[in-house]
Amino acid sequence: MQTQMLTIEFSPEEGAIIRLLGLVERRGYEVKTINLPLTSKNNSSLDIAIIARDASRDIGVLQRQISRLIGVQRVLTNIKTNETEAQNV
Amino acid sequence: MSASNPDQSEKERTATSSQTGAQLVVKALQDQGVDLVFGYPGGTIMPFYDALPGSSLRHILVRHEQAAAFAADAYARATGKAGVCIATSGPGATNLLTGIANAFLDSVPMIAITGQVPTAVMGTDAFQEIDIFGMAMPVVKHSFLIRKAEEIPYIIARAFQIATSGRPGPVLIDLPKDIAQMQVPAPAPAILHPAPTRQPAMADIADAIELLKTAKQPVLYIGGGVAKSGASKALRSMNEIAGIPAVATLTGLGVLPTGSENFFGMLGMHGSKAANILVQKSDVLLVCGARFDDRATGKLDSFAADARVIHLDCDPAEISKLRHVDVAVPGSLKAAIEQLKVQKLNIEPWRKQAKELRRQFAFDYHAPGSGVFAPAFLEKLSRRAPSNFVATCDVGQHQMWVAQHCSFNRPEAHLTSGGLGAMGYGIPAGIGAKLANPKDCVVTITGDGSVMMNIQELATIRRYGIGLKIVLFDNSALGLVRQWQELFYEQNFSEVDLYDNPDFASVARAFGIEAFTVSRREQVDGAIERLLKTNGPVLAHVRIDPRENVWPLVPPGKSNAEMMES
Repeated sequence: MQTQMLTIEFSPEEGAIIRLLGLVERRGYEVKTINLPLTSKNNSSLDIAIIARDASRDIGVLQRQISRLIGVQRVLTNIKTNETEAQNV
Repeated sequence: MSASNPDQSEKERTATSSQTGAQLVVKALQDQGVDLVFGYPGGTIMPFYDALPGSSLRHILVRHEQAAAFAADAYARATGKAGVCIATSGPGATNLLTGIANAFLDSVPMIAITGQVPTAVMGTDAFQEIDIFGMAMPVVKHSFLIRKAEEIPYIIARAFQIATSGRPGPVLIDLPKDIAQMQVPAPAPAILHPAPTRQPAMADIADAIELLKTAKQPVLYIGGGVAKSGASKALRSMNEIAGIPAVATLTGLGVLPTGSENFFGMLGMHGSKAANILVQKSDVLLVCGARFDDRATGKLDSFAADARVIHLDCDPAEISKLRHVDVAVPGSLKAAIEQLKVQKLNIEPWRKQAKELRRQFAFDYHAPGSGVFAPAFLEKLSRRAPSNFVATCDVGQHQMWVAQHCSFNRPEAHLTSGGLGAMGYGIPAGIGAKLANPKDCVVTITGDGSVMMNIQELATIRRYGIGLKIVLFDNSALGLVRQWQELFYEQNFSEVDLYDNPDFASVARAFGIEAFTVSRREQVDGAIERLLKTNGPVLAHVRIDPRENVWPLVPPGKSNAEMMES
């Protein structure tokens, strides 16, 4: 399986990082590396390298599932055009 | 009254200038328009229960926290408002979890408030400390852990906004005891209205209309999202003109009335054969508010294999999750359906074929023997019940029989645990539905397995005089598991025999609830009449043959085209 990079921009509320990583694991991906390069009061960014646990997983679906979490602002993959704006309320 | 009035208590004087966190919670719930909550007190949630008396909130004391969550779930399904349940920390909170998960999988708006140990001892394995904030994450739309009492009005308003906006879901609020007891200057009330759902793109709607125009054999596939989006009326109007043969998922039943011309039944594992054949033969599938659940689709890669798919859903994450979509219409489902202005499709041969299939595979209510045939009982019950009939189901064979054989004229008439399939839902759901709409004829249909999961709620029914009618089908077995063992595990009947059930009518009477037992077919008419005429709570214990199975059936892992019949 191919390693894919995700950058998730989110509001650093209590539990936000475990909420993000938990979703990624639950939806069938192994998290290989984690980096939190930028943290401010209202904005954080999480870079993760992930590998799908089986071939049926679609990174686009995962992007949208992350995007609907409350507090997520933007999700980017290693392919720049695959940017998903957060859909949450 | 002035603050110095000697007749005013210290508590009252304090309340005018500052409030406890718990008082703020009560007030915030009132500000959100909440009038009914379901809960169970305990150590860390005691400040809330101290603030409760004298408020306008009506609290229903259940006898197990799981029932509080199920009742709140059903209250929400029945009213469209968020249901509220409350429990203490530790076991109280973990007992809520099944009900929260149920609301999550069926997209039901719910607010679950849990007490938590004081912040100073959080993380020390204090008495009744459990990280419910962490445990609930996979089964909530969102969650809050309150750290500042002054933020309570905003957090509660935001929780309601999240629970009821877009695709609804449960929101957990964990409230540490010290925050609940803290005195703070009363902050201003916060009201946040539901956030508008993104409008569908006109170009997507146009693509959907163009694809539909090419269809020779279209099928409308209705999911639970239609009712949750308030789009039932719009869908009925749209399809009155378009005339597309329609099928529904378990949670989409009632959007089109059961007997209506364009409705062909439930699809999927225990769906109608006509519905499954139509879907398999379709060339265009118009999917509204559904998520291609495996119980609906059967073997996915053979599901409607020749169909091009149009998918309307408020949740973009559901688009192409399991089945590739040809035309995606993410955004407000109601708006999308309203804008889907389709003229009458030229599909008369297909409509004729559909009606012939419906006639050919109509359910047969003739059964051998003189025992009670549950499908016939249910068909008769829903036909004789008034138009405000509501069925709340437990999980198992009886649940499938209700979906197959009861008539529903609106989606709120069928409250069932769809995604989670949680035994124990039926009676608490009946309580929630009856309290939501006291004039409705609410009937819980349960089995001898499921009823034991929350039988203690008969005490709640008794306490509040809730006029819930209960039909308990008793086959002295875990029937659906038994059916699978018979069909797919070479009749290796393992741990499904409930031969030593208690006498359920006596149990009900011990709780102070009228009850009677029937076992013969000629008693059915009288039993239904007694059920429907009784004003107060009543339980009909109906003995049925354990060998009776749910038909038809798509075997696990098989295509919906391969339905087994009795």
